[in-house]
Amino acid sequence: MAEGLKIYGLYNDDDILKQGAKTLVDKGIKVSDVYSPFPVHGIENIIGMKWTRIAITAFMYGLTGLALALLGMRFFMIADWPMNIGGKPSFDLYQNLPAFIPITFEFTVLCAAHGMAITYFVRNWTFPGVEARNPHPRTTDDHFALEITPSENKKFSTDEIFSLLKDSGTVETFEK
Amino acid sequence: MHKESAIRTPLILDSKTYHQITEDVCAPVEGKANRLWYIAFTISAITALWGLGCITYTIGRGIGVWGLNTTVGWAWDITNFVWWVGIGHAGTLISAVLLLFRQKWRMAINRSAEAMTIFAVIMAALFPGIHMGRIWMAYWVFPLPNTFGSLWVNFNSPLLWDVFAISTYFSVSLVFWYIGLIPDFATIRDRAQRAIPKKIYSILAFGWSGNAKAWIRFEEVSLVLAGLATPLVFSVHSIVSMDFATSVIPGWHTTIFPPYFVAGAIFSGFAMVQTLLLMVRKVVSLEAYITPKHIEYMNIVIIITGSMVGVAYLTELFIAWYSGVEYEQYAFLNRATGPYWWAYWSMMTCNVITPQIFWFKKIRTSLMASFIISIFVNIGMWFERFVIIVTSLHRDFIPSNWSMFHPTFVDIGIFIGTIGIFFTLFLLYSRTFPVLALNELKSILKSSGNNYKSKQNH
Amino acid sequence: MNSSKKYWNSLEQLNNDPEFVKSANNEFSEHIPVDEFVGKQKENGNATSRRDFLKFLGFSITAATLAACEAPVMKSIPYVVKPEEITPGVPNYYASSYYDGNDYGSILVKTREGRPIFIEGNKMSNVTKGRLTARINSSVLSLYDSRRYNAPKVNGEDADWTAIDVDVKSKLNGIAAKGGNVRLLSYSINSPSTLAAIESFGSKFNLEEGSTNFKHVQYDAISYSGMLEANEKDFGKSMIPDYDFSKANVVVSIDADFLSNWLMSSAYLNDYSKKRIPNADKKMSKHYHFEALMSLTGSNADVRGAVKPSELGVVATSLYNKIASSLGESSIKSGSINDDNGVEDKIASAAKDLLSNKGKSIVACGVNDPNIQSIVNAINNLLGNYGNTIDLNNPIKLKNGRDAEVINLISEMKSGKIDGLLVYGCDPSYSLPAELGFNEAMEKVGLTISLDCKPTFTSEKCSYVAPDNNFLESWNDLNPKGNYYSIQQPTINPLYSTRQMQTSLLSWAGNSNDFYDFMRKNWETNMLPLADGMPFFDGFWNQVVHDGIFEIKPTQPEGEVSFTNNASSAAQGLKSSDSGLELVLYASNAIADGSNGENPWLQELPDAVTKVVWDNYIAMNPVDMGSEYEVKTAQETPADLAKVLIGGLEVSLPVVASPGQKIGTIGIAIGYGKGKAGKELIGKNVFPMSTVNNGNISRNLSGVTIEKTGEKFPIASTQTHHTMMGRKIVNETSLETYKSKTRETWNESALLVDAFGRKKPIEELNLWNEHPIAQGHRWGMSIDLNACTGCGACVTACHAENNVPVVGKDEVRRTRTMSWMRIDRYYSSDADPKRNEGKKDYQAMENPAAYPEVVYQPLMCQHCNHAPCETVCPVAATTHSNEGLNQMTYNRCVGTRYCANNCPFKVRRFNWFNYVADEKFVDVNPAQDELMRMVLNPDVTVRSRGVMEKCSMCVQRIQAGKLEAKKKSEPVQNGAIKTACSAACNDNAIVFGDINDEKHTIWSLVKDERSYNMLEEIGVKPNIYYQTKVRNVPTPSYEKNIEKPVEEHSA
Repeated sequence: MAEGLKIYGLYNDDDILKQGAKTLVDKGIKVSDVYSPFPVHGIENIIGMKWTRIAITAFMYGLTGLALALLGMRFFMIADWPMNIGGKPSFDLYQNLPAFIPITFEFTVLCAAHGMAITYFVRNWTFPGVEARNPHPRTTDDHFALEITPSENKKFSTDEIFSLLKDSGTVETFEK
Repeated sequence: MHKESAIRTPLILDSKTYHQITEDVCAPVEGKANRLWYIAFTISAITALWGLGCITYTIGRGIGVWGLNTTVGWAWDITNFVWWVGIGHAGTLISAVLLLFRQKWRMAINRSAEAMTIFAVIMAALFPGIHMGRIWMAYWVFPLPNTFGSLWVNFNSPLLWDVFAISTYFSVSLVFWYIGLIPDFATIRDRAQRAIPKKIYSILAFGWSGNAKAWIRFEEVSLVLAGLATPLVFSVHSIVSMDFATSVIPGWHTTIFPPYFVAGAIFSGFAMVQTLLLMVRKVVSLEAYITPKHIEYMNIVIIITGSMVGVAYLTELFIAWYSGVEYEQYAFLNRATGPYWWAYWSMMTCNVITPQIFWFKKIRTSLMASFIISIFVNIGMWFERFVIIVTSLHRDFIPSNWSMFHPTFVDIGIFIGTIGIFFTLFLLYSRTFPVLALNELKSILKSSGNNYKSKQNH
Repeated sequence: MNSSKKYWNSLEQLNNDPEFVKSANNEFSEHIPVDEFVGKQKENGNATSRRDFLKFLGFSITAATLAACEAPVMKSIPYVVKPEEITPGVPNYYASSYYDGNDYGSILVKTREGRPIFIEGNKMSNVTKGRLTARINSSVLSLYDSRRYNAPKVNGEDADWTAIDVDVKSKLNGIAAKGGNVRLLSYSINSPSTLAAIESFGSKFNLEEGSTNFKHVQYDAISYSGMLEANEKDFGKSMIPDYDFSKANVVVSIDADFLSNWLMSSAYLNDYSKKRIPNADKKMSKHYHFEALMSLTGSNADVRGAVKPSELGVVATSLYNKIASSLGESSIKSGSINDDNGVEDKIASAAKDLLSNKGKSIVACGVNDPNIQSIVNAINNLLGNYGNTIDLNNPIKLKNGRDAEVINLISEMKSGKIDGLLVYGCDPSYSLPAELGFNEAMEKVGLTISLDCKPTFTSEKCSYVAPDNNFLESWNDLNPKGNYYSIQQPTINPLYSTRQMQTSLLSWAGNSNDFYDFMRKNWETNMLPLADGMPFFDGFWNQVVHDGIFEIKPTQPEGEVSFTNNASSAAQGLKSSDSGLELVLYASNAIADGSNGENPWLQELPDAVTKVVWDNYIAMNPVDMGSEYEVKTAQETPADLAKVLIGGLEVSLPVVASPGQKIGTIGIAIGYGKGKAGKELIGKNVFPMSTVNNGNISRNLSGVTIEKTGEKFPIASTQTHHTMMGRKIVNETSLETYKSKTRETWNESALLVDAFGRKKPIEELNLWNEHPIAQGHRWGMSIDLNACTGCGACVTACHAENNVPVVGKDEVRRTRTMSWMRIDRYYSSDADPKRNEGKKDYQAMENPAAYPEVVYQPLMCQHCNHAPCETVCPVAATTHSNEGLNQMTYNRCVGTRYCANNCPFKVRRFNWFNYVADEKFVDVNPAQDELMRMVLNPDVTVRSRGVMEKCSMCVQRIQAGKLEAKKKSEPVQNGAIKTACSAACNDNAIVFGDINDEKHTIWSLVKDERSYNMLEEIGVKPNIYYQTKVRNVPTPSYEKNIEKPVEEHSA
């Protein structure tokens, strides 16, 4: 059998998938990934996957936006070229602040949202033209694929893995 | 996993499996369009072209081809702008706020609602552009570095706040919408038989594979974006309202505007969603997913927001009287009894009175009634903006300035045109995009699907 | 050196071998493959092959693309030899004079690089004292009118001067030889030199003394011959005395529109306004006005009585009787007035006031009827005004026309007695009553010559046209009154092949020299002796030309003037008033007799009272209009057309509401149906309807019928709402209240309640730290609503100074007038809460009273220190200067119109179209005309499409003034800088200056107790201050027992 191939078990229901995954993990098999048409809640704990920290980045991007907006407006309206506009103060940031709040808020949200979105695409490595990596076309329809990397499960032979998979309620198993 | 009491009416009718959902949603994309679709498309395409013609004429000759004058510097242009922005509110509200509140019924409608938002905001953004005397200088409203060094925009101007609010709202909604679309594009991609569609959809799908980590991130990002979009929804129309609220013109200079505008926006937004979905479920036959229950839920939102708007109208009148300010009092008296009384009263009937009949469950659940009333609300909300803008301007402080506004064929043409463009885009969308959020629907199939519920029953 | 030396290129050349000769002919030694390149042109003739086509295509596209990279360049040619008096960018001013038979003004002409671009008043003149009318300062545009005659014409064909001279001379000699009759028909000419020229021309025909082969007939379209006739009877001299309004405490006017169209209105405007401002001890002049229509002057009156035109005589007689009786004089025959607005009482109180101001009052009368004029003369005589306020020694020489002479001339012409007729400066076939049949008479005249500078109805009928120069191209001297002379000097070379009328006459009279020399000679012989301390002519002449005036202090009358009272006989002569609809053909303040009817600035200047532009119309009291006619004419509510019939003539015109005009009377403006907008005549000519009434042409007609035609007619008016809706827009009070009550009573300052419930004046309440406005310059304006008469001179001046586009009727109808400053006119309403026990019936408040009081208010950008427009501009295109100006940066503006919406005064103007190019404005906007474009002020940008514009307070003038002061290294002096409007107003009502400089007049005006800011309560803090309007009347009943104490507020 060829090297570097991965073994897949295909389920047709998310509950069965979770059951199967549990049994496999109990048997000590390391499940490297799961492909599903919709988020299967709880699977990440079963296969021992860490939760994402992407939300934290959003917060940081937000802070950046906030700072940029305030500093920018201070520079434009007060430092670089202060003008008398309708008698409104242009002496320091504090006095002019009320007028700056709306844009500060909008810019904060802008940076947070887009910053996070970009991070999201990068981490998932999803961009126009990227090849899809799901093992079976139906995993985006109504099937669920469980991925096992033999190299990570040295103490099991490929056949053992296959048999274990079959027992866990798969409708089909294959390696790819 | 989340369990749901059996008494709740199912959100997915008939007995569907995951695969059937996929089938149903992909059907319009993969299959041929029905006659209804073609008729609708032709009509909207023609009106769209007419509108584009009027816009070209305006840009070529000058704003003078509109009915505006020295006294009434804004009329249909900004009325339409605010109207479209308002409509553009429901989508993000549905997908963001309802997501935060874990309202599952949103899942059938949020995709289309958001598409509507995107298109509506595009229409809205058109007007601040073309209403400029020198549209070719439009980029000057952005704080761009330039040859004059210290020549920047005026951050005190509510119109500039608008620029930031609208562009943020538009781009964030777009991203939110698209991130949700990616997995569904993947589904279509993996089902596609012919080469070219496969290619296109695989590009659109960004190479989505649906692995566990991606789904985790997906849910997290959706949640956070929802969290960001929610205040955005409220801020955008508040800021739009500040265009008026921060001015000195009696009838504009009103502190009640931000909440009042937001309520109005949600009101008109839901009305428009209602109008569209009632058509879509027929045109692309998704009766099983967009159920009377959904319609009813939205009608409830319409009653509530409608009543809020009504209260706002009355508050305005009270405050005008209570303020004791001559100009303020006259402005509101003039709205109700002046030369534009008809606009005021059609606003009142359409926005305050008609939605109230939704208190009757019979009407609330009748699709036809909902459709008619949603149209009424759309009209009423347009008049609300017209009343606020034109009747405040046409008789302000100094009587010698008092004048009237009379639209020209160009004003009308552009407005009708934008409706045409909007529907053209929406119809194209309904044939090429998954009009329902596949992945989300599947995730609620077991909790709210009819067949699963019936299983639980015995 | 040896020039025959020759160099050879080569041996071949030296010994001319054939090979060389051959090659020498073709330039390039090798063959160049042109044909191969452009595909064998020779073989296939001119037809280009596909490949060539592609080559050319490729080339042209590249060329076009490259060309597109450059903006089109307009080249201007610099001076080759710079005239020493011209510095590019620096204006030159020339003193000159304006007189067109209707208006007189001593003027300063501002020229830039040799182009006259602006006309303001000459302050040195003691006649007009630097004041002008709108008609005069707009006249600079008529200079560039491309519809002027650009060459002499023979039977409508262009000719050259030599040809026409030979022709005309021979014809005239022929007439002279057979002792035929020649007449010169002109407007009233007072220029000594011109008269001399005319005389020398006449002497060619009047060979022996007293012969009448040549006569100079003078004729005024707006006739004063009734007055002349009366004065001849009463003073034995056919003249018009000089009225000095600056001395009159009481003015009673019987239909004399002296602020717009009566005699020398330019001078009266000045004197009258000055007397209207309450002086230190709170005294001001009192003005009674009795008239049929609502005239500009009438609308300014303290007390105005509306009477039928046919009853104006009765007003005079009853006024006479009231005065006479209290002076113990015998009374005269009088009648009764059909009175619906207390005219009787008004006359009584007028009499009372006149008697208490004997010798310090004026009774003026504008009715062209010798009888009424005689009675008025008698009144003035009883009051002893002659020699005090009315000067017989320095008669006004603007109006010498005797209608009898014209009528006589026409009968002569009809009888074929006249062989030659020269017409100059008047348009009889347009302005004479139809019944006189001038046109038919004209056909009987063999030789007809027109000397007009632009086509008129008469000149079009003349066989010869020898066009005169425009007044800005000609030399002349004027003698407006008494011993006051003024000079008219050319400020630009004739634009067309035209020649001064005087020169033409001289040359036809066989006098070879040019009028300039003739005039100099005339002055040397006649004027030099009068000038004391001026031994040498050249010095004297240069002085006079420089000043533009030559004035000799009033001398004793030439021949004692004695007054004979013909009142009673005149009273007998008065026609008994008849009932029925009456018609008044009035002269509007913009168009007057129509001689400048084609001037776009004047056409776009709204009528002072009705605010209608670009049309004449039937003015009617709304009460008469009832529900039959559309009263509230506006954009989408056009006026109703009606047909007016009188004496076989009919005219159909739109009906426009004019509150305050006598019920049962209609009015139509003369002077229309002459000027054109493109091909279209503007309005309709109603001159022919006027009639001859005992020897004088009368424009007050009775026996008129009017019928509604049923058609609609769009009417353009700059103001469609006419009442103040009980708001403090124009603050108004009565003299008694002003004297007796506290300021808070009649000029309440807005108090707002602050956060701690304390009442504070607006200027003490601020949301934020103020930008410093109390240091450096702070330009501002004070507008005195008492002195403002609404004459509109400021509006046209602003158009001229700031290149404001003229937008034409349709745009005005759409409320898109571009005028930077306008004059608002408000009628009082009976439903006004103040007059209606505080009741607020808004519907009723919209309707003016049947006989309302009128107020005028000039309105331009208020240059707010807290300008709402500035805050809202997204691109900071409008900001505040540290000198208090609200600046508009055109080339930064993107045109969102947000500023205009947020302007409480709505004084911002948006460029809806590209006015200098859009086809809609070809006929109206001067900037689109090749020639008229020359009037544009180079210091002011011509705004592009899609940008906002507004009053800049003439920032270009401010800068110029500051530079002047800097050169002199002194602070800007009071009055050194004038805006176009304040210059046109001669600082009567509009005073400009530095609010921070206590040396400036405005400094004290701003602090005056009458001064207030418009819309003070919204806290925009304008730099324009208005002075409360004070009406010289006792406290009206509704204002009685109002007394507000001065608010105590802890600052």
